[in-house]
Amino acid sequence: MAPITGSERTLSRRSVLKLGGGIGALAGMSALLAACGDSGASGGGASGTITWGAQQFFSTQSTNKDVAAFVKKSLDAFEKRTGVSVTLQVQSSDNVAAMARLLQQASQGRAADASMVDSYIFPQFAQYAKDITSVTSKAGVTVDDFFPFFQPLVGSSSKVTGLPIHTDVRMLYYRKDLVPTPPTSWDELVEVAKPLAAKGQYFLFPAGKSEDPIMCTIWPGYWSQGAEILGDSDTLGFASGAGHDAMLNTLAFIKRCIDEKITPTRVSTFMVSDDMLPDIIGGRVSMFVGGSWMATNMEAQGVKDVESTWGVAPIPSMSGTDFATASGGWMYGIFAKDAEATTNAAQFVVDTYIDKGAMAQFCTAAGYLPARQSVYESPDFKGGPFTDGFRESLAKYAKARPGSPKYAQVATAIQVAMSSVASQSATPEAALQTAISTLS
Amino acid sequence: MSRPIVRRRVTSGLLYVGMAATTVFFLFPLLWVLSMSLKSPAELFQSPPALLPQAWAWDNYTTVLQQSPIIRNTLNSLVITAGTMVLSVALATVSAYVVSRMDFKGSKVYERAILACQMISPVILVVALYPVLVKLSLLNSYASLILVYVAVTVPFLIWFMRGFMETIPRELDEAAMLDGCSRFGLFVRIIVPAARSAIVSAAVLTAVMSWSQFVIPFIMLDNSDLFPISLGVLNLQSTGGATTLQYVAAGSVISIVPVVVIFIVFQRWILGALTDGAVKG
Amino acid sequence: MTLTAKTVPRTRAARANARRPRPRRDHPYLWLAPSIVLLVAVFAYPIVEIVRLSFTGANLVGANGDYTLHSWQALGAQGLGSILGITVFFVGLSIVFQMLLGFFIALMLVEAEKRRLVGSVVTRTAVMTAWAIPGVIIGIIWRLLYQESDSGILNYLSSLVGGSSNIPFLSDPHVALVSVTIANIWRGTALTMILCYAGLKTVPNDIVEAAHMDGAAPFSVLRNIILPTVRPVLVVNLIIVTVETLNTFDMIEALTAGGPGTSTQVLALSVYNLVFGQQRLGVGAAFGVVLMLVNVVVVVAYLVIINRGERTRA
Repeated sequence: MAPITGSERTLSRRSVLKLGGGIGALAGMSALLAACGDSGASGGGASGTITWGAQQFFSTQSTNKDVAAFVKKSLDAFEKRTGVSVTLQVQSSDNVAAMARLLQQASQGRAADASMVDSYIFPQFAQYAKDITSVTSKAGVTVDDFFPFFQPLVGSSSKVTGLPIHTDVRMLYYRKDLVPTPPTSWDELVEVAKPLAAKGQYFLFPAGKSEDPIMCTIWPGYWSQGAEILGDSDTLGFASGAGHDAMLNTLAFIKRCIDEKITPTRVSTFMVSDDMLPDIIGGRVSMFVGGSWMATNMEAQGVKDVESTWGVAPIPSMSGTDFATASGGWMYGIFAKDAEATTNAAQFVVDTYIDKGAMAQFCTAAGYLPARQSVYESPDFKGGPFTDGFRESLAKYAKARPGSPKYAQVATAIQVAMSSVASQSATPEAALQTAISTLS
Repeated sequence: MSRPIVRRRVTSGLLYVGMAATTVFFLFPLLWVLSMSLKSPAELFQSPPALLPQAWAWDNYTTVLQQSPIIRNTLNSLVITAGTMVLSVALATVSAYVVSRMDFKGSKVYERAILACQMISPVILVVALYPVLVKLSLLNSYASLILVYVAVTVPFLIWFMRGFMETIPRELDEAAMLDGCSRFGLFVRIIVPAARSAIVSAAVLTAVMSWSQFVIPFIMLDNSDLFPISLGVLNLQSTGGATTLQYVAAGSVISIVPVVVIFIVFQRWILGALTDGAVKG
Repeated sequence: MTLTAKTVPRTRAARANARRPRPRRDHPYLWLAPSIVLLVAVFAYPIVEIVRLSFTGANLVGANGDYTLHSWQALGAQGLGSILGITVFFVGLSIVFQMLLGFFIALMLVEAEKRRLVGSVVTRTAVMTAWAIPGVIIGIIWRLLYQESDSGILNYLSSLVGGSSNIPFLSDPHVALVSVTIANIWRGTALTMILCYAGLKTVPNDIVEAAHMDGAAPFSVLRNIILPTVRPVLVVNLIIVTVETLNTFDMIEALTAGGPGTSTQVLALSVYNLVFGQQRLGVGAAFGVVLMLVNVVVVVAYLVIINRGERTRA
């Protein structure tokens, strides 16, 4: 056995000392960070402070500098005017899970005083959201100014509980030089797309296992056949009868696009509309179904002359009439405990996101569509190239997803069915059957 | 040239080829992210993709550093990691020593229980713990977060350290005990120095495991001031449809930098630790 | 002994006392108390709670907490069979390749250092860095790499060397599972490498050299000298890698979210998806219990096999 020599021991002691020093420094820093962390940790309540839960992109920490600057300006003005200090709590951008957690918090009375909620899940928050009619009526915000599909979420004229900030809508985008008149029915679409696809210019839609894809690819086609996702007392709309046929038709259309080779199977990897950008930029797309933000993003990603090259139209339906499309967007709900904090939180949200001028500036900075119809007329609002088309679809064809808790399960099952069909791992019949049995 | 020399050179050549291949496989994705982080939005989705950005968009980094709390996230991660490292390694060293040196009733049960703890997925853990932590007001604190991190890392470390303890010759213990050294004295003066290499390795392992934790902080923290780096980088992804890929890439690079620095700075320790090994003594 | 000089006993009696071969009074539980308290505090309740929840129809907000067998009856309809199959493939391949790669990279590094070749530091740092990145970020990174059509870098590189520019990395259900597994191997190899590296350093150098002198083939040195020495390390490795891989899901969630269809839906991801995506705490808990059972079954099987192996060798 070799003895541990002196030199090795001193070396080790010196390194241990160094390590210890480093750890000590970190521990000191920890105490410091913990101290300033705690000051903001308590969930409001104390008068003079409110907590504000927001997605990072919508907050003062946005990577969009215009958004950050506008929100910061509004926040500073609010704090100065009212003497109330606002503490930001950023929500996770894994938004399905973030909303699940927020719901948990709201049910325990721990949600931030003013919290952003994805509109599709807002109905589940309605029972916890505070009545803020006094603030909204003073600001001149009326329920019927919001787009029709938002109105049930906002509440009634005597009781306002939800405040939508912005909205989005799914549309058919088409290359004007390749497609002179946009198709209205599925048959027409296939007919127009086939010769173009033969030349390598495809018809794309997102079909990955995620939420935006079913809003682009499933719900518009399904709704346009007159079917509903959930009936009374949460019965499944596509379990049998006409709804079943409508869903089968919608899934079969995906299969048809793949089989006719107008759509490549890689659409089954597209989790959001943006995943189509590489193909769009690469000139491999004649038409696609995507969210309204795609216009802004295409410009930002260097697609030239978006306005003169591309056009937008309602998403083609099976029959060529009765168009439908899916809309969503983020809202605010107020979950403060006492009346004073409720008023303050509501006032802050109205000042920053809801008031006509505020919504116009915020949505212009973010490149979003305002949730209030009157804002489109505001001089402060500058829309993108297709804003008029979007607005028309929002008013005429847009629907919101059902607010029932059951929707989360339905959405997952349909996401699986859609991406199975698009990746050719299941027939429409089998995929639908699996979805129904998962949900029973 | 004599045959052994030729063989030596051939082996060295093969080693170089192997190391190069390994480096490329592991480094390429990271370099690709680095390249993405310096691209302008217009270059992100070019096809065919450009290997290098045409104009280096350092702006992506300034945006992320100025707009988002990524620095704060990094500091949070450092603190959480350091706390976990110290506690976890200390607990594991003691436990591994006891398990390898003391014969006692229940030692088998203890070892099995440790192994069982290792098998509990963090998702299961936090799903069940969350309501309890809410009731006890233990959410949003470094202390409870660190304790949970320690709990999930320590079983693995005990296993890891135990193997090393076995390689420290028992003669060392016996000699010390004959000299009247107490168990504690023996542990502090003999075992810890002899196992210091294993301790450093364990520290590195714990650090890395804590650094990359995602689910636990995701559930246990509401207060974004306390978010670690994994949550910070994810939040750079916009939920409203704007393209933020270049920022996510820049954030990822920023999150990797401290780790690489630690690996390089502590290189001698990790290396030294592992080379002179606990077998010496 | 230089060390013992510092601990000279004070009295002759004490020395005599210590020399007598009498069992010392150790207090193992006193030493182990902190770790036992912590582990019980953190683990005991969740295990019981998850089993309890699996027999309820609870949702995330805590409603519908009545006891029912519904969650367990629903496992089949939720695709448990195919999920288990996918999990076995993902975990199995990950283990095999992580262990092989990790072991050979470690071996290579040890050899390279012995020969003082430059660059081993770079290699080691590259491998270890991959492991230190949070899983969600790894998912995002590999999603970029795997982009299909020639906008994706891997597809583009493949077309440069004369391959297809349209490899369906993530859109073909079978290929997707392989792609996800490769990303996981990329991520996890470092763990095996670190453990093996430490183990390989304990291989007695003189014996290896003597064997080489005697003209032993490299393979037989590996089999007869190196492998037996690092066997305990490999066993620990196997168990840890298995357990880690079984319980991981963050990378897959970011890479494919389990798709297309359910072709990359592993067990741990199902738990997360059911609880947080669909707010079905009851069914999620049932899947969680299945996940724990799978862990236990696999590890017990390992231990049985290993013990049998040791007995036959002895």
